Amino acid sequence: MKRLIMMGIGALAVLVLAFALTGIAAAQGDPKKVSDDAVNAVARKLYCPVCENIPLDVCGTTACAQWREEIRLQLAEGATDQQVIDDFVKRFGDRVVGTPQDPTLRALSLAIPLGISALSLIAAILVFMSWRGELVRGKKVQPVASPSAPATIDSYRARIERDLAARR
Amino acid sequence: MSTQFADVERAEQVEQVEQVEAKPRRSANVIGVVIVAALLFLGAIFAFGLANQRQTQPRSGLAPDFTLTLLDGSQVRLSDLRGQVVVVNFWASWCAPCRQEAAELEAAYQQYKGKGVEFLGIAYTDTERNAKAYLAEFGITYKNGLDYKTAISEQYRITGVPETFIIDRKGEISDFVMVPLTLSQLNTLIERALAR
Amino acid sequence: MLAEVGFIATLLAFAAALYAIVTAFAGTRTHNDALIASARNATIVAFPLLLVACAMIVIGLLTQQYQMVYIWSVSDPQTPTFFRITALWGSQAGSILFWSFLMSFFSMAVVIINWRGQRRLMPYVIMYTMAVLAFFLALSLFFENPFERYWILQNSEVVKSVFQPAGAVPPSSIRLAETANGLNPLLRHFGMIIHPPMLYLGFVGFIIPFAFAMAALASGDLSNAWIRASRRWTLAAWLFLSLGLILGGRWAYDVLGWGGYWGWDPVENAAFLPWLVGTAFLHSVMIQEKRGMLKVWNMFLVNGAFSAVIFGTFATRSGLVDSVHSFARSEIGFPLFFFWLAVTLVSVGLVIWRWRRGELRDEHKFAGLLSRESLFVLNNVIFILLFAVIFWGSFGAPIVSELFMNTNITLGRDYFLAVTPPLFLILYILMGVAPLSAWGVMSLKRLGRALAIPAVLAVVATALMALFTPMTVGVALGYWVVWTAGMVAVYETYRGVVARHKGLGEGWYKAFTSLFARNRRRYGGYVIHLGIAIIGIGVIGSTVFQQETQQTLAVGQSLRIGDYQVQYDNFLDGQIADDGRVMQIAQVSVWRNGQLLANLRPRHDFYPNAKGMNSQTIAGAYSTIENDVYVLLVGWERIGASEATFKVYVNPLINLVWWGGLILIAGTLVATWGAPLPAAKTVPAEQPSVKGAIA
Repeated sequence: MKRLIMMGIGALAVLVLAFALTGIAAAQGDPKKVSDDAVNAVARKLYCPVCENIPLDVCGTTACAQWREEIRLQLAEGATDQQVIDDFVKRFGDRVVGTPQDPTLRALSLAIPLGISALSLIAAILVFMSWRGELVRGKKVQPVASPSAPATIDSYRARIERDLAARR
Repeated sequence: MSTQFADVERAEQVEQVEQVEAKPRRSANVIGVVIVAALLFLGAIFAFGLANQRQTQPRSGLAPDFTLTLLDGSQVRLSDLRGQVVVVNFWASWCAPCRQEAAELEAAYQQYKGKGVEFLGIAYTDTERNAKAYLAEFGITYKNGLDYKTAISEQYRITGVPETFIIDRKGEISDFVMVPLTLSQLNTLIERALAR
Repeated sequence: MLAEVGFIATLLAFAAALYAIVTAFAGTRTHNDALIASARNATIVAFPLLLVACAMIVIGLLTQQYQMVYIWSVSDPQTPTFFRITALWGSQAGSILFWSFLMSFFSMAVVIINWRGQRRLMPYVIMYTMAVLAFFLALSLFFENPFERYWILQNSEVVKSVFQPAGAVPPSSIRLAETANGLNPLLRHFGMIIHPPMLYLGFVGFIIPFAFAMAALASGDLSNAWIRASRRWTLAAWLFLSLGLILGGRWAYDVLGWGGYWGWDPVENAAFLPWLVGTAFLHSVMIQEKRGMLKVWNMFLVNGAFSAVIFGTFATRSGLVDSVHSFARSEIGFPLFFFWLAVTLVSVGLVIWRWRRGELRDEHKFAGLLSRESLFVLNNVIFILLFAVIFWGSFGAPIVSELFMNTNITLGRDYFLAVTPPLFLILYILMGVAPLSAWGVMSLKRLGRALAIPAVLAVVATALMALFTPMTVGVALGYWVVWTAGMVAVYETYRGVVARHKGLGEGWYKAFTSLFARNRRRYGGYVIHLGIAIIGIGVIGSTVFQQETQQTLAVGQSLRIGDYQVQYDNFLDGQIADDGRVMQIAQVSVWRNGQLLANLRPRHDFYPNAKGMNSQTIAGAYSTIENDVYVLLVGWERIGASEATFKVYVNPLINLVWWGGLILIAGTLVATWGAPLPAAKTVPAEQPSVKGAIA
């Protein structure tokens, strides 16, 4: 039991480490070079409000071109990236960003995956425990063979052969 | 004597086997109920989602009420305009067909000014700068505002711009048009709404 | 004529499918072999009928019969022949018929190939495959009919109908040809030939393992027969699906011009979900074969894979969520939804039924924590988590937020790149560790010893990479894990070859080939793992270290990105290609340290006759193992000699993604090919001797 808990903590540590490390990795950003790049840096995080699921920096419509100009103007006026994004969300709604800006909505969108992860891990741990249970406790529960298991079929076959041999 | 023990042993084995057999049934029931419930719940969500997607613009009945924040900062509520015919026009500065009807809309507004017809222009996914420039370009004087968070557009379930809704004096939708309008078409539609 | 023949052929195929279901069912109830044979014939005959139906559309496309509504909507007189043929699957109606055609091909193949070996299961397999086929044919016949034609009635109204209405005349063919829609420019790429068919083959292929599983549940034969019978079908479907996904990525990279290959678009994810479940199934099925465990779980998995396929079809074609891949909104949304619900509920019901009766019991119940069984279970858990997380991001959150919270959330790239990398990392760890683990029990010490050499080799590889590109500890660790997984596969193969060479005295080449020949599954699997590891290296490189810049240049000017210099050399305007498109071509050269590396020709294509989307930008790319220098002409800015805007990406290691894909294909072919088929011959029973006969 104690070994099991240690293993569980170890696994959890690996999971947390995995999340943390990939988080560190993802934080590497693009260097801001020129005006076009600065605009694209913001536009990358936004989606075209009227197209279907196209990021704003690669969208080719007139509307998108206008919105990129708007980003350029706002950046020139001294707004930070986040301020521009917030302005766009205020204007066009949540569908324009890839992650909800509202902290509660953001928490909710992550809560479901985390919840399912936790439930699945518990289920997996239960399976592992039931598998180890037999090994650790030593007592073997008589495995009831399913009707079509090879072992059962073999035993039936053996009995039939014996009966046939007896009849010959 | 030996048979008694054999019987007891047999009974114990049978009991053990029965116990082991009962376990799959219980977990099967529980998991079965959980999965079916989850599927029905998911199904309901998709069904509603799909039904939602297929809804189109309202063409009759009470027009959805909204509050429009105009470009000068003041606010207009649709229900406050009851008693007048209201022409609600969705447009955008980046929309080429909208430019076709911009002058016609302004002309119709001037024609019916003060005769119980109000015009409301709603800029769909637009910015202040571009909206003001567009209005200045066509000399539009009736009330216009940005549709923040596209809330009004979603209420009216528009699928693009330009789209125009004519609302009669009782607040009900008289007509819905998806194409750029000419002055004569506007006259017909407004007369029809006034007559209701 | 074409339309009528095609429609009748489809109708007959529909009738044949229904007939097959009824006779197969009656045959199993009454144990009547003649009925079952009749059902088999009906299944086989559906294929040539649908072949005729599809051929009618292709002939119509090639001979430009614009009176047929479908042909009018996907082609025009300027469409090149190549794309004319692929227009068969260019839009909703044709692609559904093509889907049914592929399904009839698989059904026919399975009843021919597996008939002898699985006598007990085959009638049920017929029932389930034909039920699905009948549904999709019903969609074609009653909702999205590709054989409708335009007619003008006497009152000048235009109607669509297969057969000529009374007093109607066909519209002028010249007028039809003038107004024909033509293929969406984005679809005019080599990828159009192969990506949709591969994906459809993958989706449709999953019906065979599903049908076998349902047949096992329905017939009561819950031995491993259904697994053995469906194993190669599952591998084939998985291969096609993997190919379809990789080709889709390649196509997006070549054509869409955003320097990437996977956009986490809902439709892309909808195709990825069955792949995840299918891969989980491929692994956990080994546990059932070796140790007779997880029988219930495998049933849920294989049914889940097919349910995911149908759900993906539903989501893609019904307009449920916003996507760049959306088909036009149509009427088949609700029928597909109800079909998905019915299939899933029926399959779940059957599994629960057999489970309650105790017929899906584990044969063994014990396994150590680090045993291969446990690691495979963990592998399955991670795949299911990936499934749930990607499903939630693509479908759950947008729909739930719109319905209940009055706001429209999109969960985009940022969400997926935050949530999935840890899960993928754990999968790569498992990919390195599980092949070294044993069935039943495994100790940490033994595992560690087996892992030592591959891990050290991986450290060397990562260190070499770090020499060229500075990286954070996190990224280095990620690379190391993926390298380890790849090295395990290579090292285990190496050890096997050495063992044969030393132990059996075989030459190196003979040792290598006979190692693979004798254990295709294991070593084919190692090759597949190697391919996945190489893809992983490419994905990490091109995602984490991608550089991009955008600048407006005049002829003669250049821009810098990383170590590279891209110079704008020349501009060619108004070039006309054979299909009538107008091209603006920019000639650029790529330099590094003063040395010329390549001359590229990014261009902007304009299709003067297309409706709607009428332009496209094609990148020029300089590809090496190290990276891709990817140069785009930004299409919506001014393009000319005095100024043109260029967007340049440097995508490190991206070509490993494609090479890894090729290795993956090779590995799957090795694993599938040539394994001995189950016994197909029957042997006469022993004759009883006269002496032993009972009175």
